[in-house]
Amino acid sequence: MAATSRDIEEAYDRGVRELQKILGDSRATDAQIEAAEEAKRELLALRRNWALDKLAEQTRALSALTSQLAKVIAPVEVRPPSESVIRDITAVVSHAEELSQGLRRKSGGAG
Amino acid sequence: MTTNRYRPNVMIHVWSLATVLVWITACTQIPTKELTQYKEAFSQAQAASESVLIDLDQAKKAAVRKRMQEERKRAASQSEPRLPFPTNYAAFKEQVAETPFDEIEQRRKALEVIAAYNDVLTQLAEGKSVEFFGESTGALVTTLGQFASAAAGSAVPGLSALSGLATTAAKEIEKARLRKEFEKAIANGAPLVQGILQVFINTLEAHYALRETEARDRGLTIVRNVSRQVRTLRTLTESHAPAPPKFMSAAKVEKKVNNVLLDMSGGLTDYPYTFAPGPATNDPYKTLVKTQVDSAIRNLERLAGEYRQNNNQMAALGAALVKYEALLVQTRVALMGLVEAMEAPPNLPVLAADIKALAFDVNRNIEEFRLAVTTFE
Repeated sequence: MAATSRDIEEAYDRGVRELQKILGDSRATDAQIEAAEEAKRELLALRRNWALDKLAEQTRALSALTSQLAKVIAPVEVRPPSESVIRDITAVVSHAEELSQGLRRKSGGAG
Repeated sequence: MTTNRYRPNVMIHVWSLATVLVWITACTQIPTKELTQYKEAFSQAQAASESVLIDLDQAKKAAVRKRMQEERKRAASQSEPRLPFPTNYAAFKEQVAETPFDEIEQRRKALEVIAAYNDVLTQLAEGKSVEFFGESTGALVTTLGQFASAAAGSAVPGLSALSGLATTAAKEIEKARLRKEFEKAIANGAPLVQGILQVFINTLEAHYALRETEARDRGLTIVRNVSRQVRTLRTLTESHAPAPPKFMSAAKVEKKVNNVLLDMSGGLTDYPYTFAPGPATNDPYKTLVKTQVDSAIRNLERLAGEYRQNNNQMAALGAALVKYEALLVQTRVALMGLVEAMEAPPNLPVLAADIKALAFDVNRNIEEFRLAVTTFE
């Protein structure tokens, strides 16, 4: 079974406590301290790399979600699509009204 | 004659429009209170994000630098000679390639896209198009009526009533359209916003881990240096004859050291320390020894201060992240409230804490964290 984040956290926690015991012991030998220093470097590097990988993995997920959200926004019609149609019709009818009135004036004038 | 011909038609239109209006008005409500609450929560979370992201950026850069240092060190220790540049282009490209995703920029961009999404929701909710649309429809009906009057040669009765009703109907129809657009935007966008906010929440674990690793490294180094100083002090006291009365006795050194290191005692394996003088036959305890003892105690005082600052720094960062998470969670809750309000009658979700105060706290904690770094360095 693959190690979970929790397993990694617990292993790290145990490792740090062990290191603290050795490095915090004023009677530890130089060899013990040296070994503890080496173990510390490795333990911290593992944790650091885990965090960096996690960050990159989350960023990829974030990037995909952000692109999808941008695609949701793009087609939203904040202004009504028929607004321009109404404007056009109004203009056409206005023009028709003017023509009609012109015709009536002409026919009235002739009659 | 003409008047009678128009009247029934106009009345039918008026009643039809009025009926449609009642139906439309019933389903054109956008839950603006929930929208406002969600936007406010997001705006506070976004404001707090800036300082959190700056810190994450610094933590990440420091971790990358450390990783590179270690890789160089490892490479240097290998017996195989290391080539100053790769033998093929692909390997070179891989070596110089930047991280495919800039974590911080991607996060800023995500927040900007959410803000743009919120703007769209706001525009739909404000419905500025309703007024314009209503007026233009009224104008169209009036113009049509005038055209009919001009064509028929007499006025159309009830035209102003029809025009007014058409204006109202157009407004309601536009409101319904906006509501539909709003519904669609919520249905398609809200789960994505929730997902993005969840990624921000998940990131806190890695953010904390990066800073914790740094602080742990410093903390363990301090602990090791304290142990070393204690060992030096023990050697000094034990390898010399008892200190003369004008200098600090071994018992006083013991008391002083244990007092200085009291706050760190949990991290020191053989605390409290004991210091005993050597036999009187040992080398005499002279001024030089006294100077060395004083210097070691001063070092211990400095190390204890650094240890405290290191811990305070992590406490400040941890507190900032916890509050920041609360802001993100509240933004998610507020968004859920908005989604639910679209489906059910308005029911304002009660947010647990004052989000503005929370956002202020995040910034204050980050500032404390930065201050701790400055004084530590």
